[in-house]
Amino acid sequence: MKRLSPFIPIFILLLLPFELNPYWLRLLTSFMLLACLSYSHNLLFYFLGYPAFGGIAFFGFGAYAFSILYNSYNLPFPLSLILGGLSSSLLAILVAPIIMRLKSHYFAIATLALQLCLMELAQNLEITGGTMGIAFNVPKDSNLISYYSSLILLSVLLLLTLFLERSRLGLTIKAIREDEITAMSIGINTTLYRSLAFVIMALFLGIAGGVFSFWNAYVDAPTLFNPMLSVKTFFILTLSLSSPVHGPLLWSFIFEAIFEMLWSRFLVLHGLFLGLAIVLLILTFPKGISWKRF
Amino acid sequence: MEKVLEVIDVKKSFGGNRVLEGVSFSMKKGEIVGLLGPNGSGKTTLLNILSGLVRQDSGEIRFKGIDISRLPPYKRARLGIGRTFQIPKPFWNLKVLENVEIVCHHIQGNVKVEEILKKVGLYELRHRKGSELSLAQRKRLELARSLALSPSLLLLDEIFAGLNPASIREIQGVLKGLKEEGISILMVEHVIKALVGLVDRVLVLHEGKIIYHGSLEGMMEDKEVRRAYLGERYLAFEG
Repeated sequence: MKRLSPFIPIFILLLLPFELNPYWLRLLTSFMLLACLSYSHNLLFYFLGYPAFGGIAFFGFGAYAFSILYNSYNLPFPLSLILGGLSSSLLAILVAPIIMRLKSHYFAIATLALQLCLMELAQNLEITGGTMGIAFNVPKDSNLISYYSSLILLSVLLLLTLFLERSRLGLTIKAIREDEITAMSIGINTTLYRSLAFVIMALFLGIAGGVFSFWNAYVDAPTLFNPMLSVKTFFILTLSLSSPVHGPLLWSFIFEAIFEMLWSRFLVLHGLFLGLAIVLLILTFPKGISWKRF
Repeated sequence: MEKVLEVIDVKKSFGGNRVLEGVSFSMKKGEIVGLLGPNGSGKTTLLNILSGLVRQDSGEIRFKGIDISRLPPYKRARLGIGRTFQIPKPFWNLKVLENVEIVCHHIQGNVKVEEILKKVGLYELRHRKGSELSLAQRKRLELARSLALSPSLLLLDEIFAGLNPASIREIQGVLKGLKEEGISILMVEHVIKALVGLVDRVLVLHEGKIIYHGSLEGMMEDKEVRRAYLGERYLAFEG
């Protein structure tokens, strides 16, 4: 039962759409996409100890790739999603030899630089629609498709996190996080595992970007490369430090609920209140909250 | 006897600071060699070069006849070169058992983790986390991890430093057992007393050069070694 506990919310989410109006459907999709961003980033942040503060770059890149393939080339939705994810992975493979040489805050800054470069490119290229972005027609049931796509992605990421938490592969990656030099000296090919984690993170962020585009029916650079997405993600990951399996799911839900409540009640000042809420939560729980407490 | 390690004219500089200036020596199977020298003489740099953590500027390193000069650290480890660090580096959040098991996932062959833990005296503590171990236990854990590589050569960096006499005796016993199994050991050490009756010979490094190569007893009498450790003025005082 304990092993199944993270999947209880997934089962509930699986059945919920039949009871929900479009507003709640969109709100829950937004929550699941935030959880997907958190789990994807956690592959690098929690398991490997690399904070990809600009990991949103791969989210945006995958979103644009999806939008172009789905909108301009009329490829089917699932194929566009997968190709969007793979294009983000390809980008990760290309930049990994440079970025993965760096560690801690240097690594974080390099990923932020990548995010800003891609944002500038997206705003100036014709294929991405420049500052106008890309708007596209989505089918009538797009809310439901986005909902279930997010749910499938979330389930895969949850399974992957559980697998890494309990497998030999996860143990190896955690050893690199603990001490990379020692890991090398006991026969672990650290470059391979670091690059693998980076590429897998990019794959899932790219797919999440695709689902987001479809859900939003419009993409532009400020939306896709919005630093607020990174802030939200790393706030959730900080609170999830001691609970990498359940934490991102729980905190994404709480965060999205707080955000929605503030946004709907304080249209102008919601950013200020959100900032205060983040500071208070981080100060109260600097090492995160363990699921075991509940 | 079969040569396990050959170090041929290895040189290394960090900026303008020449740390190793043409170091050459070899080791045979089952031999224990002490690598001594004053602080800053290049001992740890040499271990780092042998384990692949630092690349030499020139020279060659051969392990069991294979040129490993350009191999990355993980490939050298998989070939059978184990090492421990001056400051033990267990994986703090992993259990003792996991710390050793993780090595077995990356090498070929059938390694019995529990036997290794018994050999180094950590079997009873196998479910404790790395962070819960004392200094002596951490050093044993590092040794256990190196042994999980089924090594032919062990590079030990100050394994006796900070240990009490009882712990030193126990680790001496383990090392003697490894020698009997045919494992060669190159050990950097400052606790000279702990090497008595353990090492077959010693190398003394000073300012990046080997200034002495021979028995531990002979080293005590060597003028060059005394000058390196005690300085010119002390020798003049001795007459």
